[in-house]
Formats: sequence, structure tokens, C-alpha cells
Amino acid sequence: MTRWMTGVLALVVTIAVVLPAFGDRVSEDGRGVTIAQLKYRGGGDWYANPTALPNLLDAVAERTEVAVARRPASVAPDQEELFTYPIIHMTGHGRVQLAPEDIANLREYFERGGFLWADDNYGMDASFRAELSKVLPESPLVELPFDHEIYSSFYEFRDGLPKIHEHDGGPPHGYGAFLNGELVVFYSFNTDIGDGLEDAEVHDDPPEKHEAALRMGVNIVVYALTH
Amino acid sequence: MTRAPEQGHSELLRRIAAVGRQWKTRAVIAGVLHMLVLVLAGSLLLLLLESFLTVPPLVRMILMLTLLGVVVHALITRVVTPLARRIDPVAIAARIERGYPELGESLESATELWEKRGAGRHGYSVDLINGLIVRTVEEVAGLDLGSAERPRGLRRAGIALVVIAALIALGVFAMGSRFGPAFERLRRPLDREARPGVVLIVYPGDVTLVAGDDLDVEAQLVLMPGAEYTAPALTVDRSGEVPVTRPMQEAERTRVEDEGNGAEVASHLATIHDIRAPLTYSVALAGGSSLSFDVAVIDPPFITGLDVELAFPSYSGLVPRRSAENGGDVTALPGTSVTVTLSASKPLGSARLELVSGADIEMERLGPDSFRGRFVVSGDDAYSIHVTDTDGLANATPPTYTIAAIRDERPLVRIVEPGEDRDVPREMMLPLAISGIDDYGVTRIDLHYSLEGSAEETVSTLERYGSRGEREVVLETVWDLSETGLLPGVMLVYYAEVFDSDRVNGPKSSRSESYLLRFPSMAELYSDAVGEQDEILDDLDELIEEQEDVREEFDEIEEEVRGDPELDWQDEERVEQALERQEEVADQVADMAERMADLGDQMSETDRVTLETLEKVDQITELLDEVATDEMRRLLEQIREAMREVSPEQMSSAMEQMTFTQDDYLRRLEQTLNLLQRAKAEQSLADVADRAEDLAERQEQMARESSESPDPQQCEQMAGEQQQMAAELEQLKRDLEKAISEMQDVDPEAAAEMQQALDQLEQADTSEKMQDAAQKLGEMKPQEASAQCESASSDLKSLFTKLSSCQGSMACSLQARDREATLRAIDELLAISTEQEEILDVVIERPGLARAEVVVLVAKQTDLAESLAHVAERLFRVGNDSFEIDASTYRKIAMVRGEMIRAAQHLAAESARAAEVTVSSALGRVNGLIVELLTSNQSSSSSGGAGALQQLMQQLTQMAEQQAQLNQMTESLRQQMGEQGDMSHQEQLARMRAEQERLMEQAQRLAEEFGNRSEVLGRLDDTVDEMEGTLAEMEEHGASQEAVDRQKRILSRLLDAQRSLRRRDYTRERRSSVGEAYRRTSPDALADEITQARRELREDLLRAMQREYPAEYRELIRAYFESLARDVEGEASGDGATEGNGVGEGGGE
Repeated sequence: MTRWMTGVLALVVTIAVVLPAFGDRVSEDGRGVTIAQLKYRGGGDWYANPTALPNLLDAVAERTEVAVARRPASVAPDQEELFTYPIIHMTGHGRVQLAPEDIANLREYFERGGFLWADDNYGMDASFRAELSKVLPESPLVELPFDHEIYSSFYEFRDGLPKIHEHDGGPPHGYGAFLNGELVVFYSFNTDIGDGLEDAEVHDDPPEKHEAALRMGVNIVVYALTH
Repeated sequence: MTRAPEQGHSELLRRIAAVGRQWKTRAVIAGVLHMLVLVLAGSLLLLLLESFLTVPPLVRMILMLTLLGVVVHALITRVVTPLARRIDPVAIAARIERGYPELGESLESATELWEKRGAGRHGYSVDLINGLIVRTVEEVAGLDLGSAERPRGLRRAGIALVVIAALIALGVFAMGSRFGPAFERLRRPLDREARPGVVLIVYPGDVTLVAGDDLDVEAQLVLMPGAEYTAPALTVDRSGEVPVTRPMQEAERTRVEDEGNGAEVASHLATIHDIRAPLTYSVALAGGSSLSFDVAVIDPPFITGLDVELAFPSYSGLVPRRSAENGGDVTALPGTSVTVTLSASKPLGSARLELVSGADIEMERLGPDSFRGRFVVSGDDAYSIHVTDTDGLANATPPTYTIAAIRDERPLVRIVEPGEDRDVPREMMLPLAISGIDDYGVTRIDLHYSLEGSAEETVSTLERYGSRGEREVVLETVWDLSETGLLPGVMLVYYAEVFDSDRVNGPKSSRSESYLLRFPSMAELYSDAVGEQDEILDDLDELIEEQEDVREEFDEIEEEVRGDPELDWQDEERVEQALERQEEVADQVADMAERMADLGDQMSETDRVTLETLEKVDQITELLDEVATDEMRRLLEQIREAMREVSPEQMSSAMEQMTFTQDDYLRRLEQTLNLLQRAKAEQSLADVADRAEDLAERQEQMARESSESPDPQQCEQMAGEQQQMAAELEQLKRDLEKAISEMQDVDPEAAAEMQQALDQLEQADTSEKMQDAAQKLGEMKPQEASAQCESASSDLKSLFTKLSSCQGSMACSLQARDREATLRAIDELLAISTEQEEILDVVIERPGLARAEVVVLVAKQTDLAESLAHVAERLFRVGNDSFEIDASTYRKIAMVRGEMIRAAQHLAAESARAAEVTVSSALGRVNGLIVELLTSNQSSSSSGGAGALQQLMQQLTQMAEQQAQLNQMTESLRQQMGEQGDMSHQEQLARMRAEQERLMEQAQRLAEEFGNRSEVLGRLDDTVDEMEGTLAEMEEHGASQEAVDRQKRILSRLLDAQRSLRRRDYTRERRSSVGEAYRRTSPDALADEITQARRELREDLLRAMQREYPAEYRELIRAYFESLARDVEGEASGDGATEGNGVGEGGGE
């Protein structure tokens, strides 16, 4: 059996096992698992990159065996509905602020196997780090080595995160926070995957950047659903 | 059965003939045997005689001839004669009848009478003969006629032969030593013999040698007592050569004891060397000689063909190679497999390779005379090839060949770029080019670096080239220095290491030269930036002078062209030179723009350049970018085109346009110069102000620490620090003097204020106070030092306040001055517009003017043009060191002025229609200019200008503070009102709503006023929306939780906008672009403790899942293990926390 086939089989089996544990975590259109945009406080524009997640969900549906809905959801960190989504996504370019109830809820979400993908849309780094340290005080963000599975869960990224957009210059960084040995937060920094996921005309991205962003996004989703 | 007589007769004859042949053969065989018996018996007799007697040659010869005669006789009589004898049937029949008497004579008769049948006269009737024949046939029918005679001689001869042969064999066995020489003597019957009494025995006799061998010949002389002899000589007779005789050397003499006759044996030796061809030899004594002995020569096997194939190690990339024909020497890399294939001169029994280093390798048979063997080169060595033929004869001199192991050289590596010690690039990305070269292949390039003062060296692999590698590589990459932890003022040492592909002895590596990367300190960065700024100012000054010269040159040319439109060769040459000079200026301007952009980047790296200065440098860069457009080059090309086309009109037009452009150029360059000077002066002021504030704070801290009774050691350390701060103050004062000097040209009033602040500092004896504090600390009088430090801190704060005030007043006065200048220009332009309109009215309403009136009108129009020039001049003089007045305004004024001059010309030419058009156009342009200035003034009064950002920042700060207060009030009111609400607080709520409304209006105003800077404020528009929502919420639900939350969000956005403004995030950095590809090394692997829990869980889970449980159980098992892992992790965290507390307590102790 080839490595690819093994990977697909493992993916299907794991999803079949993992999905029931999350109960009702389908999107509004009710056709499969979806990603929820995290509505955090602080004014950092949680709603940025509105076309990013729909595009990503399309890519996941078309390229993988994962049954996903085509519309993302949105959820506040203190809502009970948080637990119905296996993956949540947050982005923005301003301040991130979490209330005590947000922190407690998110903590429980992670403990129950939830996964957060935070994508810095430039400007949320400092506040995000500060707030995350309240949620996972024992798990500081560590930069993931390039051989981490998230860089090869579906597509191969031998040099780690792709660089999509230039803001400050310098290479992109992919950080992770672990809880019970599991990666529960993936933080893409200084690359702006979300901008790359958006409709190409929004940021005039060249096709290869758009594609790179989609591939990395697929990797993150597949990783989150299979681990 | 009765046969016919004819038939019977024939049968009889046939049988008789057969018997005859049989008997004849038997007789011949017996004869031969007889002859052999004679030969052997005679020979035996002769041998015996010769062995025991010394038979003279003559006698020997007679005896041998006699024997020969007997043998010949026997041959003739016993062999040849029987063979030649014809078979006679009648005689045979008679011999048969003698063996069978019962036949009587019937057989003979039947044979004989048949021929006489029919010859009646002899008296035999035919019938009788026929009857006889028939009867005889019948009688012999059952008889073996051949047995009629027994072969008597044959048997006897055979027995005799056997007996004699046995006797000979016995004699040879028993008396071999006697028989041998005897036989030889018989073989050469006429050879002379040694003297009597001397027996010569030669060894080894006939012999077979290997070609090239030596033969030792020994002559043993058995000497009977009293025998005389001479020394023997050896004669060697080689084929085709003259026989050579040489004496033999006596080796030893021994007495033969067992003979008992007193005989002695004298042994003589001689050696025949290097025998390669058959020969004979004999030993001669005086009067006699030994027999001649034959020496046969056989050849040993030797190698006739050799093929050596070299299979090099795969990493070398070399293709297999054969050595030259028959060349067995090997020159190869260690690890090379050498296959040796040989062919020999004859079939071989075995072959082997023998290495000097000790290995003995049996070769594999390929054919009767062909073998193959293998060995691997491990170092310098030699090998020999040993072959043995099927008889066991080995090659005499096995060929030996050398093995030379080629050394795989170490790779070479060089850091081509930067290839020198260097400062860290501003962008923290260092382009690296590393060249590696190896004789067989580079497999890997590593980069090593360590920070100054750190023993730890970091290694990262930059590139791998596969197992075989590349022989020559140049790796170009960009090193992200931000990963190195390099800090300002620290140095980093780095070098590259290259590995080769030697998999036999292990990869070898080489290291490049080490280079230093130095991260300049903030002070150095600032100093560099200031130095570059000074250079740019100087260059700009020179550039302006050059542009003025060029401008004058063009003026002169234009004047000449106006006087004489036809250009001669010299004129064209002059124009071309002027054009080239102008082109050079344009190039320098473009270069200057780039340098300004770099300066901006350079300044942004240091924390000592203010936001405002950076903003100005950006604006200056933009200004220069505008100057460095292609318009100037286009005009230059137009002038060249006009010269080529010989078009005076085109030339004149282009020259006129050039004049405007040059004016614009000059103005912009001068403005750039002034702006830069001002920016520099302001930056210097800001820098000393910041440093004064910093120093004040440090002095204050020193005062505080000094008052806390430090121990002597601390005092000593603090004294050093205080001394350092005192020195910094001296430097600060020098820099302040320099800043005052710079400010003198830019803003004398500000310079005076700065001087006043410096004077006050001097009067306060701040330097002395700080020095004194240092001294007191050194004298362990911290309390006294504290007082001095406090006083110095107060002085420095005062200095900071004055300098800050100076900064503020400068910005305000500059803005006020520019606004005033703009307003004055607007007034003047309005007046000009009015008069221009009057001229237009006259032109339109009174087309046929008198000449005198025309002159007046022309003079008026000319005056207006001049007035316009004055307006531009004043405006420029006032506003050329700020951004309040758009630089394009001057150009527009110049264009309007040009239009007015053309209008005057048309008026003077009394060209009514053209005059009307140009006067009208001039009026329109004046009015347009006024509108632009008014708009610009209105905008700048609200948002524009260099101080606008500062104002904006202040307003945002103020708003944020007010919003924070309001939020607190709302929160406390919400708590007071409780869940049900309390209408007694309506008044308070109304006040808060009013305050929120006021803030909202202020935010709206900011959003409108700074429309062109809205991105600076982030989402200020959203803030306004949020405020509207808050107001609605407060209106509907009072101080509800929703209202409180909304207010928090408002405050967040205000702070966010303020932060963005401070960091210049949104203006510059939010302008994202497509990401470049960065190559960097992977972060380190995750620490085991991070993933350990998960790994263990998975291992346990997988083990558990190997058993076949129902699906629902499997889920339970999975859940159980996950839960277990969490518990374990939780315990580990708990332990860690406890441990942390312990450490904390320990530290406290």
C-alpha cells in the first residue's frame, strides 16, 4: 500500500472516529463539518478576510475526502456553541482581548480536543500572545520544526509555512501551543495566509501565492481533524 | 546331403587355403617371438658382460654384431621366409592328412586329381575323381582342419620371452647402478672409457629442467687403490654452438668403507647456469669420457595477458576504467574494486593474487588458461600474481604490480559573499554566497555561528546535495539574522563548513574563513544616519549651485535663440553641452531621491529619530521623487529634436518650457534643502530633548537608590555609573550647542530659546552637581550624593521641558507663518484676478483701442505678470522649509505668469482675438490657483502639516482618556442601577450620554478632517459606528451591560488607533505586498516533554487497539486513554508548579 493510500485511509478512519465525539458541529447549511470564525473582543477586526474561509472550505471539500460545509460559522469565545466546532479560526490586525469567561471557555474547548488556528493579519501578535498565555499559561507558543506533521498532513511544505504577504519582511513563522502533548493552537505569523486565501482579486495575489495559501490551509484543517 | 563334385572341390580348396593362411600367420608370429627372444637374450648377456666386465669396445662391437647377425638370420628365416612362401594346397593337404591319418591320402588326392579329370590317358576316370571328391568332402566336413598341426614353437618362444624379460627387469632392479652405465656403454659401443681402475659416475645423468634453471653436475670418481686420474672436465654441447669444456672442482673425497677394497670416491662439481634450451653434457677424464647426457628443458607457465578493471566508489562518480593492456599497476581511490583477469601461456591448475599487505586471494577459473580475481584498494600496496600449471609447476618470477591509493582531497570552501567582515544589514537579511569544491563531490554545506561572548555555537545545514554530491557548488541564500538573537552592539562570528562524499573513510570537511557580523549600536546607527544626512545636505547644496549655473547657461542660450533663431555649429555645440549638464543634474536628483529613501530606512532603525522626522524624510523623498520625473528628460529630448529638425519655433517653445521646468527644479531642490535642514535641526533638537529626559530619569533613579543606604560595593558601582552620566551630560551639552547652531539658520527664535535653556543649565551648575554626586558616592556618602542627583535631575527635567516647549512652539509658529503667507498670497492673487478681469473687460468690450490705450493695457498686463512673480517669490521664500505650501503651486504660478506675458504680447501686437483668448486663459488660471490655495489652506489648517500627526496623536490620547473615564462612570452606574433599573440616575445617565455624544462628534470630526489619513486611524469609522450604537443602547436601556461592553470596544479602538499611529503601522506597513520566498533553517525539534504525553498515549492506544473489541468498546478505550493522558499531564503540571514554588521560596531565602 502506498504512503498516499495509507494516509488517506488513516484520514478517513480517524475522521470517522473523531467526528462523533464533537456531536453537532456542522455549519448552518448542515452538510458537514465547518470552521468557525472566532468573534473575539478588543477591536482587532475579527471579521477580516471575509472570503478566506469560504475559499478554504471549498478547497478542503474539493481536494480531500473530508466532508465540509461550504459556509463558515462564527462564534464568540464565551458561547456554548464553541464546543460544536472542531476547528476555530481567528484573524485580525488589531488588539485581541479575552474576558475571564472567554478564557475559561476556550481552555475547556482545548481540553476537550478543540483546535484553534490563529492567523496574524498583521498587528495582532502582541495582544494575541498575551491573551493566549492566559488561556494556556503552561503552554507557551513554540515554533514548530519544518518536519512537524502540520506541514505534511496533506501537502508537503518542506520549508515550513509559505510566505504569502510582505508586511514587515523576514520569514514566516509557524508556532504551536500544546496541551497534553496535542497541538491545540497553530499560530501562523508574518505570512498572512488569510490574505492569500481571499479571492485573488482582493489583494492582487499571484496565483501561486493563492494556491500556496490554500494548500497550507488544507494542511491545517486536515491536521486538526486527524489529530 | 550330396554336393556336386565341382562344388565339393571348391569347398575343399577354400578350407585348405584357410588352413594355409592360418598356419602361415602362426609361423610368422613364432618367428618374431623367436627373434625377440634372441634379441633380449643377447642383450641380457651383453649387459651382464658389460656390467661385470670391462669389455673393450672392439669386443663389445663384435659381440653386438654377432648378436645382430643372429637376429637378422632369425628374421630372415623365421619371419621373412614364411611370409614370402606361397601356400600350396597339396602340401597343406598332406600336412592335414598327417594330423588326421584316418583321411589317408584322400584329401591330397582329391586336391591333386581334380586338375587331371578328363585326362584319360593317365588312367583316372572322371567318375572316380568325382566320387573321391565327394567322399573327401564328406569326410572332412566335421573336422577342424587347422588343428591338424599344433603350434609348437610359438608357445616355447612366448615362455622364453617372458622369462628373459623378467630376468632383465630383475637385473635392472637389482643392479640398476651397473646396468645403467652398462646400457649407456652398449648404446654407444665405440665411446672410450675411463682409465682402468677409475670408475666415473656422472650425476644427474639425463635430466629435465625448467627453463632458466641451473644444473649442478657431479662427477663421482670411484678410485681403486693405486689408480691414477686427472681432474674431470665438464663438456657442454649446446645445439648450434661449439661445445665448451671446463674443469670441475673437487668437492670432497671419501673412502668407500663397505667395499673393503680401499676404493675412494672423489666428488667433483660444476654448474651449468640458466639453461633455457636443450643441451648435452659429458664429463671427460684423461684418456676417457663419460657418456653424453641429455638435458631437456621445459617452460614454466607465464602470464600472457592481463586485464585490470577498476570500479571506483560510487560517490566518486567516476565510470569504471580498464588499465592499459598488460599494465597491472593500479592507481585508484581507496574503496575501488580491482578485478584482475589473466591468461597464461599454458593450462593452469590454479592462480592467486598475493597482496603485500597480507591478503592472499584465490582467483576464479574462467577457462583452462584464464583466471579472474578481485580485491579492494584500501591504501598504498602491491600485488603479485602466482600461477601454477597442471603439473604443479609455478611461474618462476610472479609479476608484481604497485597499488597507489589516490587521496580523496578535502573540499575547499569559501564565503564569496560577503567575504569580509561586515555590519549587519538593516533588513537583518544577509545575502550569502558560499562556494564549495571537492574532487569527488560536495554533499552538504553547514553554517556555524556564535555570538560574541558566547561559547555556544549554532550549526544549521544550509543545503544537501545527495549522496553523490556535486563537484563544484555555489550556494546563494539569504540568511535571516533575526533568528540569531543578534542584538545591537553585539558581534557574531560565522563560517561555513563543507562536507565531501567520501563514504569509504567517512566524509571529510573543510571550514571557510571566519567572518564577523557586527550589529551597530543604536548610537552608531544614529550617528551614521546623521552623517549621511549631512552628506546629502552638502551634495544638495552643490547640486543647487550646479542647477543655477545650468539655468543661467540656458537663459543665455534662449536669449541668443530669440535674437537669431538660426543656430550655427558652435551654438549647437553649446546647446548640447548645456543639455548634457542638465541631464547630469537630473541623474543626480534621481540618485538623491534614492539616497533619501535609504536615509529614511536608516533612520527608522534607530530609536533616536522621532516619528515626525521620519515623516518629514518620507515627504522629502516623495518631493525628490516628483522632481526626478521624466519631464526634464522629455524636454531635453524635445530641444534636441528641435535642433535636428532645425525648427526655430519648436526650439523656442521647448526652451521656454525648459525655463519653467528649471525654475521648478531649482525651487524644489532649494525647498528640499531647506526642508532637510529644518528636519535635521528639529531632529537634533528632539534628540537632545529625549536624551535630557532620559538622563533626568536616570538621575532621579540614582537619587532614589542613593537614598536607600547602599552598601560600599554598590556605592562604588553607582559612582561609576554616575561618572558615566556626567560624561553623557557633557556630550549632551556639546550636541545641544551643535543643534543650536543648526537651528540658527532654520529658526533663529527657536535657536535663541535653546540657547537660553543651555545657559540655564550651565548656570545651574548641573555638570558640577553630577560630578560631585559621583565623588560623594565614591566617598561612601550616598545621602549627600542623592541630594545632588535629585537637583541635577530637576535641572535636566527643566532642560527637557524647555526644549520640548521649543519644539512645540516651532511647529506652531511654522504652521502659523505658512498659513499667513498663504492667506497673503491668496489676497494678492485676488487683487491680480480683479485687475486681470478688468483687462479682459476692456479687451472684450472695446475691440478697437487706440494705440496709447493699448500701450497702457500692455503695461498693466506686464505689471500683473511681474506681480505674480513677486507673489510666487514671497510664497516660496516663506514656505520653502515646510510642507504647508505645495511645491506644485510655484510651477502653476509660473505657468499663469507665462500666460500673462503671452497675453501682453498679443495685446502689443494688437491681435484682438488672440489677446482675448490669452487674457481670458490667464484669468481662469489665476482663479483656479486661488481656489487651490484656499482649499489647501483649509485642509492644512485642520489636518495637514508636519505637526498634524502630533496633533492627531494628542487628540486621540485625550479622547481615549475621556472615554476611559466615561466607561468607569457607566460601569459604576450600571452597578448602582441594578437589574431593575433606577430612574433616579437619569440625570447622571443623560450627562454620560452627552459626553459620549461629544466624543462621537469629535471622532467624526477627526475621521472627516483626516480623511486622507484615515488609514492611520485604523477603524476610526467603525469607532464612530460603535459610539452611535452605544448611544442608542443607553437611550433604550440605560447603563446596561451591552452599553458597557460597547464602551470597552470604543476604548479599545481608540487605543488601537493611537498605537497604530505611534508605530506608523497603518501608513507604511499595512501596505503589504506579495511575500518573497525566504529560506531559513528549520526551528529545533520540539522538546520531548511537549509531545511525550501524546506519544505515550498513542503507543498505549495502539497496543490496546490491536485486540479485537467491538466498535463501541474501542471508542471507550480511546476515551479512556485520552483521559488518562490528561490526568498524567495534569499531575506533571502540578508537580512542576510545586517545584516552581519551591524554587521561588529558595530564592527568597
